[in-house]
Amino acid sequence: MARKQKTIPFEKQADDSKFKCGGVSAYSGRWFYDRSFACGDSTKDLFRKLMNLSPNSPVLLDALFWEHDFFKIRLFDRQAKEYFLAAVGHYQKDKKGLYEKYRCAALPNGFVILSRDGALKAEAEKTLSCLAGNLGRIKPHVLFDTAYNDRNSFLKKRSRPEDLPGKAPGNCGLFDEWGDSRVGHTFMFSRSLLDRITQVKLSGDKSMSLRCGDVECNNMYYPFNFFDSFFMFNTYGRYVPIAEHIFRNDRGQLDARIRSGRLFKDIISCYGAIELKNEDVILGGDEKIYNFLDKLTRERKGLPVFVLCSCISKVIGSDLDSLVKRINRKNGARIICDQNIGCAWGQELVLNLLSGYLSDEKSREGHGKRINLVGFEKDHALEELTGLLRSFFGIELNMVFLPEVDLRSLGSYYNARLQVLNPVEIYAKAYRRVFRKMGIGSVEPPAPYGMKRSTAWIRSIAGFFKTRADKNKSWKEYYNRKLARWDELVREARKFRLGLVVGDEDAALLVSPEKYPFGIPLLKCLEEMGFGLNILFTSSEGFEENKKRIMDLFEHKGRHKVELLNDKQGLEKWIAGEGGDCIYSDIREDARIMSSGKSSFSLFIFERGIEGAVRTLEELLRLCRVSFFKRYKEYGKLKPHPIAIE
Amino acid sequence: MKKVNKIVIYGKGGIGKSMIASNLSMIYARQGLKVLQIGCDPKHDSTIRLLGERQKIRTVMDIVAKKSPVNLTRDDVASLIMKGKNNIDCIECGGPKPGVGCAGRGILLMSEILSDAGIINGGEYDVIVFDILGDVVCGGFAAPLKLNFAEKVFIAISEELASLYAANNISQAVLHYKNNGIYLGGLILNLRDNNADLKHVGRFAKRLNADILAKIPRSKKIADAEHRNNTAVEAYPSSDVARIFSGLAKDILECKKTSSRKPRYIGEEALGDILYGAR
Repeated sequence: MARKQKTIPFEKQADDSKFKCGGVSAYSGRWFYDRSFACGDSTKDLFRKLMNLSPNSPVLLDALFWEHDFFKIRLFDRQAKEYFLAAVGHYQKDKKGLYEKYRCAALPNGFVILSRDGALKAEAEKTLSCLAGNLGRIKPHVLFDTAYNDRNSFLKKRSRPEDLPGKAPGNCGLFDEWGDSRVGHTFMFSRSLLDRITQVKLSGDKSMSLRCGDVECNNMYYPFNFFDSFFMFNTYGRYVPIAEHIFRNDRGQLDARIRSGRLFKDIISCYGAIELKNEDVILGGDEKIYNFLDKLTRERKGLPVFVLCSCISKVIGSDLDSLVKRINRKNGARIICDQNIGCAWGQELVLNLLSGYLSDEKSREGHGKRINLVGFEKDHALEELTGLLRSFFGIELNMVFLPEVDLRSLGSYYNARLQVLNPVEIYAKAYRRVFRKMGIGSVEPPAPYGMKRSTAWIRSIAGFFKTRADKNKSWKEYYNRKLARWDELVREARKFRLGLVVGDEDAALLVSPEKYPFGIPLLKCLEEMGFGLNILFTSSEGFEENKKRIMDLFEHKGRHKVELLNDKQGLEKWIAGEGGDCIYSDIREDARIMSSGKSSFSLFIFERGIEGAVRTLEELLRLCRVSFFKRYKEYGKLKPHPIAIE
Repeated sequence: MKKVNKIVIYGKGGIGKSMIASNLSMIYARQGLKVLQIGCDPKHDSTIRLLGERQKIRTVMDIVAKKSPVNLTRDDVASLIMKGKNNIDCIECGGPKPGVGCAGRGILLMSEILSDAGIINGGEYDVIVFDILGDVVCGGFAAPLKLNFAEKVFIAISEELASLYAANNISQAVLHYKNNGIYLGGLILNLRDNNADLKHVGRFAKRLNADILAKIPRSKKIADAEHRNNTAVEAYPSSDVARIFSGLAKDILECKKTSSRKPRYIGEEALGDILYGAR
């Protein structure tokens, strides 16, 4: 007989009056407590959908939850985010704060939750039982990170999987320590989970990342390497994987395979993660480091090896410089080593290593009109931009450096006379520090989004080579043609208004977008496009100040409105009414917006370059004009559905 | 469970801690008490006088270097204990080669291993003597104080000023960990020169608020016993030195927290005044 499941009526679930409404939040996607988020699915169904999103390439939720009532979501697959949030949101209604401290990875055949605190294992088990329910193919795996020898931790108690009630060794529902014993590590390998996780990482667009909290020295802690790669190079859903991990496989052999993927087209820099354990700290790790590097350099057959060191090797006084010299001499190898105390954040460290590598090539001098682009992801819009530079100004692209790195072509870096740095602040500081001392001229024009900025970007580069754009006849002809089209679109855009719902924290993103990985100056671009903007703040905290900061951005202040609203009914009314013709949302096919008869837009439609700006504006106008949702909004209404619980 | 006397001997390097610890262990063992002596020195020479001449010393770090601490079995942990004379159990921490690694972290790790294995608080021993290297230079060397292993701390000193500076520092560590039930049992004066002027030592002990429990003279018998890989109390049981050690051993066992006095850390300037006379 089928077991009768207890359910929580939807009305009760929805009794979330103590929470403020979530809002349609630009950038951060804070949908957390909004019941409409449930999309009418039970937890079970939501998880099933989540798992079915990409059956052959698992969805990875790389998550650290930072506060009781808030977490940030950065992802590519918005649908996956939606499902996951809904599921978590349901559970959170009962167990607020439970997700704090968990890192959670969802795999097709189960869940992996990594927790810092072994004492939470019972709660984790309960959580998973509740979330995963009786789904046949989802088995919870809970792996505890107890690397810190916390007195109350699992490791400290020297527990083994078999010590736990009902958990025999080898059982798939493994509760395990995730520390020195490497059982957890073996577990990942034995089920080929690592490969699948890696696939997810490389495919990028099926990955989502919930990231927060500190990662401390986990960066260099060996059993975590494959997870660290997500933490270190992951930015708002766009992975910037500039470091490849070399790790040992379960047979203790070095696994120096170079994986291929979207951003791994060529060999990229690698770093050796040397497993320095407690006993190495005590007895000294020099010999181990030497053996590792010796083997690695021989396997790499002349390719350079970049070594990032965590604080451990520095603290215990490992003489790495001398080790590296010995190995370089012995194997004719090229090891570039950066010994760093403190948080070993990948981006800057890798940059330091790369600049160390490049400094050896300094003897050459750049020639002709050749440029290096630093920090620009390759896409068709970038090709168009560099195509314009080539065809109108004779400026050739020498190489695009970072996030992709091709070690084989690095030698040609100094063939360029100019390096163009991406101004996105999260990278720019490191870029400036590292690349400006290279002895090549550098410019940092504004991110080429929108017509004005794209033009300024091109003019800035052309100006460096003393090529004046205004005297270039063919360029002027091209530009005027595009500008005429742009102006025509802007005239149409003036008839439309766009809506953005923001929390107080989002104000900073809107005011200083260059500080954040996307770096898209959303408000300025939209104003340049001619749209009127309706910005709705859902939090009164700092509202007046935020309002002023946002209004100061605009040239035509009278065309835009910044308002405060703080109740859910009001929000729904606003979206349906005065919110505008199209509403910003990070969520694809956002039910709240669709059901009000509107369409939604997000940062994902923004393209770089002059052609890209025109295409972006055309797409936004199309979204404003579309009548589909108006006609069918009645079908977009949400239906309540009970949640199954244990 | 029987009461375990957990005795920690600290003091400046070369002051004679291992000699004092070994003689005390031998006396207690001869009294029929079950004794464990733990040497916390990378040189692993604390228990050398208690072990047979040809007995190979196997340190905790020797084992840890081959096997990760989390994978140690009961047999591995049991193999750390070496059987010495008079059934004294001996453990040597060992440590890295000079100039590399972190010996303090090694002591901490050993303490954790012994704690997890229930060796310290398992009730098997009547007396556990910790012989700890030199000054308390880092948290690792204070592991016995931190992990609730120790109870009575005794500081070996001589009339030399450097040993008194070290004793002052060690008493600060004792004060730091006093909430763990640690107390300073007193000072043990191991003389370098039997004719030395000891006024400054008296002033120091008074200012530190600690008793000098014993005055061990410079003795050829101690040196001779050590050359024969023996303890003085074993080699010359009826000598004056043996009598002094016996008295010290008795005082140490009888020393109680309730009767002990709280040490007073002496500031740098005051210490100078005490040691060199008022300037």
